[in-house]
Amino acid sequence: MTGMTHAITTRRAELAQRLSEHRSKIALLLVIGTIAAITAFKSEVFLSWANFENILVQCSIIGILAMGTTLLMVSGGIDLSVGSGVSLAGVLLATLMADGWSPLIAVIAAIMTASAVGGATGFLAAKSSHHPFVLTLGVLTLLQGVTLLVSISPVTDIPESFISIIDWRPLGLPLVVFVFGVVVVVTHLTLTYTALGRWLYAIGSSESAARLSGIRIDAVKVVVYAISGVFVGIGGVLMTAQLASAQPEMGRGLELAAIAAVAVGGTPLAGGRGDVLGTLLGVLLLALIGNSLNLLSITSSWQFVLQGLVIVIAVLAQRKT
Amino acid sequence: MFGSNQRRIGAVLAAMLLALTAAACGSSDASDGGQVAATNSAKPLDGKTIAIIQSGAAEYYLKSTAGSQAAIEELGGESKVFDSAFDTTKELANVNSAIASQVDGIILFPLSDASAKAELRLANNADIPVSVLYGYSEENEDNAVGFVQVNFYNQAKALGEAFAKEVPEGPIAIISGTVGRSEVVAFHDGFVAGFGDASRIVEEVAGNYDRKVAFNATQDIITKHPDLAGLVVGNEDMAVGAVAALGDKVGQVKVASQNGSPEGNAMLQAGKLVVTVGASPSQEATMSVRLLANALMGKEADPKLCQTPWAINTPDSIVSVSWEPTPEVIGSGLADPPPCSAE
Repeated sequence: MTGMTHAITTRRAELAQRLSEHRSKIALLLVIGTIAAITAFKSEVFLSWANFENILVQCSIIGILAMGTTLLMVSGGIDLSVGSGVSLAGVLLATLMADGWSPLIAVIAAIMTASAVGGATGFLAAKSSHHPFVLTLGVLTLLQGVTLLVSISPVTDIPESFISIIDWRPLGLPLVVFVFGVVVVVTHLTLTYTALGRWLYAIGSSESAARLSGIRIDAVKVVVYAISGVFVGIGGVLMTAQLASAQPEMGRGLELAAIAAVAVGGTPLAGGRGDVLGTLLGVLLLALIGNSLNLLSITSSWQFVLQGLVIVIAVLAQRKT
Repeated sequence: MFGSNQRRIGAVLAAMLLALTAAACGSSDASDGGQVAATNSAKPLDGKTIAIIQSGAAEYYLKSTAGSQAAIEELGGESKVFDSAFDTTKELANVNSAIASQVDGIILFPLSDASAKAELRLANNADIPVSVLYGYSEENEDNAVGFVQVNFYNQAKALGEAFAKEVPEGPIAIISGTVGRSEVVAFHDGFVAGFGDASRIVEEVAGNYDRKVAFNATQDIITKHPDLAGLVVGNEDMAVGAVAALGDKVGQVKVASQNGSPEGNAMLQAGKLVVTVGASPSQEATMSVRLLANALMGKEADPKLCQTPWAINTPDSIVSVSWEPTPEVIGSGLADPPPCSAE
């Protein structure tokens, strides 16, 4: 009897500890569940497959960028040039195709450019003793200018063979959702099962301790910013296909949405913590708010108020450590 | 990584490089302007420098800037361009910089009539005439030589009337620009007045002048209203996103927009839009230069507000003036008096 009581007590303690560990995600799930329940009650189309697909499509590009941002923020980094990078990749891709380049070569060129820009930003971040916030703010402006130099006007002369890729449905999913899924898996595997992932957590927890333990911090930063750059390039390519056009301001503000999703998902700006599941929930929450408020016909002024409130509540519900 | 001295030296070198680049750009502009001035000695802006303070690097404003520059050059002057990057504090700083540069006149594209208020007072105190592109209010009248802008209400009313003919029955939705902007309110009110039957407007969502936001909003609207017959979009940038989201439903859902941009005209010709209302940023900017040139010659604009000409476009008939600063557009905008619209 005493043994049984002891086992129950131990299990309860374990459960309490697990709940405590995942408090942030449980809180986020509660917020998401509440919004979903209210919207489902008020809107008959909310629970339809078509609407579920809408939500997935709407969160895919932000989600891809947020995965790169998760890697950066876990390591204590940040990249405010993500939105400008999307614009550059998209406009470059569209301009190359308008100039007669093969869509495949143009896609590779756009993604490689975005990755190279990311790598260069990582190199500068590694060589700077300051937080990359200001540095990447500078890169944001620089990329805006470079994008305008590539094309000052929207580019719409895009071959149908490229635009039609958006209609592909691998595994029955819209292409953007499928790519998002692949990026999620790659990011999760990177963070959880690779040495790079361990190094990112170590650098985010204490850069000086990580340096003393022999981690090549500069190289890691270049690599992680370059990986984020690849995701930025993919985002630019998908957005160009989705909108059948590219314009110099197409990525404006995406960096803030990506950072908000990661932060809401529980990754602190200081780094050292965070995971893909949290970011996924953050991305889902942001997409869900927009979708729900539209379906409920909430006026635009109230949409701003409610969006802000939900994000504030989600952040306040996070676990303090 | 680097020693602090090395960093300081690096910073100084970078600053010197920037200063040299700026000086080189400035001298090249001046020499170009000098040549223009030399060949246009009898023109009203001969020897004068005009500051163009543009709202930001969006296509519409870039075309406005190009139109202003071409018109200033045509009238013998030279131009200095300042970009406010959609930031009111930067806009104010740009006006201060223009005043400090002792320019002879300013073409101001303010972000709102509210932001223009203080800037016009500053320029007025410095005796620098300002011609304003958008930003009209009675309160600002005394401090500017003239205003050029579209009458959004009348424009949207005409669009509403044309759209009511294209979509005689069924529910319609509106994707508007950024909430809180005066032109968005005027566009909404004008459209509803022209369309007539407000009960058919089943949804109105803000697209924030962003094609991705408009894409998402359109997806939500069409999911909620699968029987939607029409969609009105506040500009053609957002219309690109809306049309992409509609996909195969373009046709079932007829789309209207406003701008008259090259991108919008291409969508009209492709049958993706059924009607648009368009005006030319190059032409209205050129008209603004005409008002400024007249003021510098002592000729006051009366009335102060000159409304931009606009036209309804359909797939069969695209009649609004080109966005490009072609010689014809510049020529028509610089006519004296400028071709202000009665509507």
